Amino acid sequence: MTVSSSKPEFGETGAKNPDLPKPGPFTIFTSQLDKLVNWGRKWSVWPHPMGISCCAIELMASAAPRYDLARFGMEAMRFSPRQSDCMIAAGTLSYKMAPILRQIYDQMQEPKWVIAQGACLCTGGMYDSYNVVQGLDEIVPVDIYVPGCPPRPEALLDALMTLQKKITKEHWNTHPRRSYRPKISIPKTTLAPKATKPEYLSLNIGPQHPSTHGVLRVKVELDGETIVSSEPEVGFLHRGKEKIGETKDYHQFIPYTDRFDYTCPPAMNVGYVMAVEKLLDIEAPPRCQWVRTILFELARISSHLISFGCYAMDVGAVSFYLWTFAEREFVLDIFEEFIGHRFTTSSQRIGGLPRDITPEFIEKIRKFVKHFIPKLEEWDNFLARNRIWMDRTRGVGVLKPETAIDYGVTGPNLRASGIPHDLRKARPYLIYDQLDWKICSEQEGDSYARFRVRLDEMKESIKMVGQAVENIPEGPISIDQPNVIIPPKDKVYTEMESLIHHFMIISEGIKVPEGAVFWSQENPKGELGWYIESDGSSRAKRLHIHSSAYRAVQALPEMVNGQLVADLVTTLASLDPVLGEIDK
Amino acid sequence: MSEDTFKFSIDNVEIEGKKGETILQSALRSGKKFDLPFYCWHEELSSPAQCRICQVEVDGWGKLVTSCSTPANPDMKVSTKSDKVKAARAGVMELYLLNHPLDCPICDKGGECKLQDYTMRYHLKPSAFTHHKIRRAKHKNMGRVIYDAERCIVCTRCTRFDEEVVGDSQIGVVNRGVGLEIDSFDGGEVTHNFSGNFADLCPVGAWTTKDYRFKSRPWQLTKIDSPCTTCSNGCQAVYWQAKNKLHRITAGKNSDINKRWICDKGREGYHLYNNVENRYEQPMVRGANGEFEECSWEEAARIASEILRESKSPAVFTTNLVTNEAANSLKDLAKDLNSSLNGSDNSALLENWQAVVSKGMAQKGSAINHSAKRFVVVGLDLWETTPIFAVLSNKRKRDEGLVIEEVASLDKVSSNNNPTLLIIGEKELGDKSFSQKLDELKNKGVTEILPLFEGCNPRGLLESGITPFGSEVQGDKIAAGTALFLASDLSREKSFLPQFKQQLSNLDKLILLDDVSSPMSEFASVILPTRNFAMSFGGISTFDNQSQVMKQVLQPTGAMKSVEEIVSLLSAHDHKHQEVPR
Repeated sequence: MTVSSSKPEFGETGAKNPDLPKPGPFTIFTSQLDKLVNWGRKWSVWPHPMGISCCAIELMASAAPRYDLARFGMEAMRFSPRQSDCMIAAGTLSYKMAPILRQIYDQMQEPKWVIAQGACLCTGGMYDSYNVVQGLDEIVPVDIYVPGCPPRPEALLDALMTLQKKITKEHWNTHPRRSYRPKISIPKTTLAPKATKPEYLSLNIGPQHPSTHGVLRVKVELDGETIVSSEPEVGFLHRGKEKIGETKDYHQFIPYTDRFDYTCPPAMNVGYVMAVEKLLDIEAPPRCQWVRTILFELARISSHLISFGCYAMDVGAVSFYLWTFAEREFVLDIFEEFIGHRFTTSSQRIGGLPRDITPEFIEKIRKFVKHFIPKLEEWDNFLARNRIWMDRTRGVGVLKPETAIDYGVTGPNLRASGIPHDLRKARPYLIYDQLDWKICSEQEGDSYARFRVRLDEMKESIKMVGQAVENIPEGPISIDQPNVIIPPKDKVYTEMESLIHHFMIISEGIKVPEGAVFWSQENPKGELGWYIESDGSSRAKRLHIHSSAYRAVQALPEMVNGQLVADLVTTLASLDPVLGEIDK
Repeated sequence: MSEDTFKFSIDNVEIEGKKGETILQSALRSGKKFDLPFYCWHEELSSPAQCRICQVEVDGWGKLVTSCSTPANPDMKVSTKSDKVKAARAGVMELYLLNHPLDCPICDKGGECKLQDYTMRYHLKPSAFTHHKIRRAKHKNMGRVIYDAERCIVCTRCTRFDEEVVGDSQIGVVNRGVGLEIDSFDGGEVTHNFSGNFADLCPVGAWTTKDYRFKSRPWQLTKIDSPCTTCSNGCQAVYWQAKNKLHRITAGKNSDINKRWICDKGREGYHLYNNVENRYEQPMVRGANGEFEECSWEEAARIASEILRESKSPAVFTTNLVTNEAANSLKDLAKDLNSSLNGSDNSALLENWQAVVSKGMAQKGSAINHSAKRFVVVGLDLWETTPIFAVLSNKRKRDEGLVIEEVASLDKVSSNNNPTLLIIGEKELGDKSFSQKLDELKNKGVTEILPLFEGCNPRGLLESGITPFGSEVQGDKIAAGTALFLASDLSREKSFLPQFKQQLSNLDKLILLDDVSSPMSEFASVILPTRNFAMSFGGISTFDNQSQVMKQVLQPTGAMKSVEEIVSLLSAHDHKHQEVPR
């Protein structure tokens, strides 16, 4: 766009600079229609968040205060494809999910921009398995690829700017109508449930729905607004990770653990390496144990922040999502300071830590502790006695203690039902027995109790972090065993022994003695178990994950049948499922 | 329990020992897992007990002993895990690594190196050595192999192999003390045909083959056990494959055929199957303008079967590089065409062999372990035809006094009372008067007769009643008319006689079954892309009639089909034409 005339002053007759054209009495813009129209278009893109897995959390972070998609006129995420013209697809696309994505794409408005966020949607990423679509462009045309696993919010913002540039090059009247033929045959979606009685309404909630916290599908049958029956269906995010665990060596599998429960990657890392350490019959040094505890509890806070924000948003308090995600950024800063990644950290090594902590790490934690405790109090005051909040959550989705035990529900959901069971007290690991904290438990078992437990747990966690960070002992960060921990690089370059140790660990992997181990940890979502069977080689013979959210979701029908359909949203949000861990 | 066997224990596990067996041998024979490492010991070689890593502690004995050279005794209590043993092994490892160069990242052995494996098992400490390492000769050219003195731990496996198995001692240990290294005595290259075994034997990266140098990492390759196809010796080999390409062949183990060795020719034989650039991937038919045009299998099979049916004298031929199954299916095809495979109907060679079989003089059992006291070789160079058979029988000649006589013709076979194995070539067996000489040979002490031909599977063909491909087939069997020819690498075989080309040009039409383009293709009318030998699955017979199973080590590319599939395609067309009621 060119402006042919500079700003005129009314009544001004001459210019100070004689080289400039003389300002006239009128302002005239000349432009091309294309440019004018595209200028308008590029600031009014309506994105559809096709969040499938881990990348979706970073997509949410992009929309949260620190990164603020509103700068691009894109803050109005539309969950209905009919209202959107740009799909931001984020996550791993399985063959089960592919037809649903394609259907949503078909229902979208022209010109159907598509941004493929993350390595999985670019190429299949680290999931080269039978059930993962090897790139989004196998089924829909992609405009922008954002590599990364997951890409940082900055990368997504850059993609949006690239998209805006792309829009400016369009012809105003002829969008390229996409006659794109999928490269693979997409099976027809079979998501049309039939009601058992004619007066009932059968409805799908999910797999692509803002309130299912991922790609969970809940088939419900409604009598008016009352749920007659419901059935959760999982598997839309199945990535074959247990099988992958049998083909990767023990160290190579650590990045996959990040992507199980992607709301708390460091906790998953710690649990996995501790399981392998049990199998190797080694124990990490004290300094490492303390750092692990800090990371574990910070991961719990980051997980509960996501859960809490989404829960409040689902019930109607959208500002909570902005507040909790703003706080979560500080936790991710701490992770980034420690390991260099903010989200999928891969922060542990079998037998120790990949690097030592820095004074900045300690400082950041201290600052965060000081800042976060009053925030929690503020939220507590804001919500705990809030009339609307209480009306929406109290007595909704009651999980009886015996039902919880029958279904194997653990973690905050179990504690909210009046059973104060916490592995950190029941079978202390890491340094939990050296810290001063208490188990948070409620009696009611309803959605409000679950909110209460999570909020209190965050208070306990930040207390623990505050205690631990002041008392980290000096000493080595890793055990001194060259067959488990790779030697430092300067030794690898100068000493034969260290070179061989390094070469063998990298090329062959660490050899784990024959045997099997079951190790469980108190994850933010509940008790998460690792079963690893070794045949003496450097790859697991069998690797199984006992996931906690899976049990909670299976208990959903017990909690929502007979209630209103709106309460299903509340109940599901209060259960805090994460599909990466459920579907594996 | 017989008198020779007794019980003794290793790490409190009771195992069976045999008189004359060492601790290590008994432990390996028991099949149980013991912590018994070794560098210098090899089951086919003598044990000099010089690497010292196999040391064990025996209860009641003061010093540690090497398990590879100490005989097992009744009621001996051996420990492989005591602190003394651990310390000794760590010390041995430390000494080996003292002057070892930091070559792992560029060493071909990296990933299958015993030095690496044992370091991970016995020496988990950082280096205590602070001085400069001694520099030595690196990548010394030794013919087909390359020697690196810095990496060498002087276990002498290679020199012992050279002396004990090959028997010509081209290499040996030179210098003294810390300067010990391996060298050839004249300072030149190793000229014999077995030098690749040095690289197989070498527990570290001192010997590497030029062929595999810097090509791949062992963990990136898939191992498949399958026989070598270069000659009729049929040695057990290991094919190392990645991304549908062969990267090397190493020796496998078969105590009746090749023990643990293969020759260098066999080791380099896999290049034949890697010729991807010239591979036929679509059937081709010669068009009106004389150029080949690609067509579908349907079309090609139709044209080929038409040619065969319309011909008055169709003939079917195969080279010796063929599995028994493929040869038999071609035999059936030839029968359908009222012809015979390789002209077997009228073959002096086959008749003579029948005579040998009927007299019970056909060779039986393993040739390298044969019970005959005397081998008579007539007009053949065993070192050329079957090198591993030659080297192993010469080893027996040195060790056990086996007599090996080489004579120019059958008349010169001397008489002897010892049971004799007569090894004859195509020329003698194809001679029309051979069957009359059998009685005379028997009188001279010949008990068994072993026929030896060029190519991979001639004995398999012979046993199936098919004339092996050789001078007889090339000489007069191919006359004017039409032929279907399984060429499978014929153009690259040395048995391709010069006059054979002349014979081919006399043909009216030639249907060629081949995997890569060759001089043969200029005579062909139809080319049917056939799986090469590495892509086929089937049985072959070694020169001494032992079964070996050829496993499929490569995946076929394009529209390649196996011989059996092609034959059934051609027969199907045939049947359709004749309208055989079903």
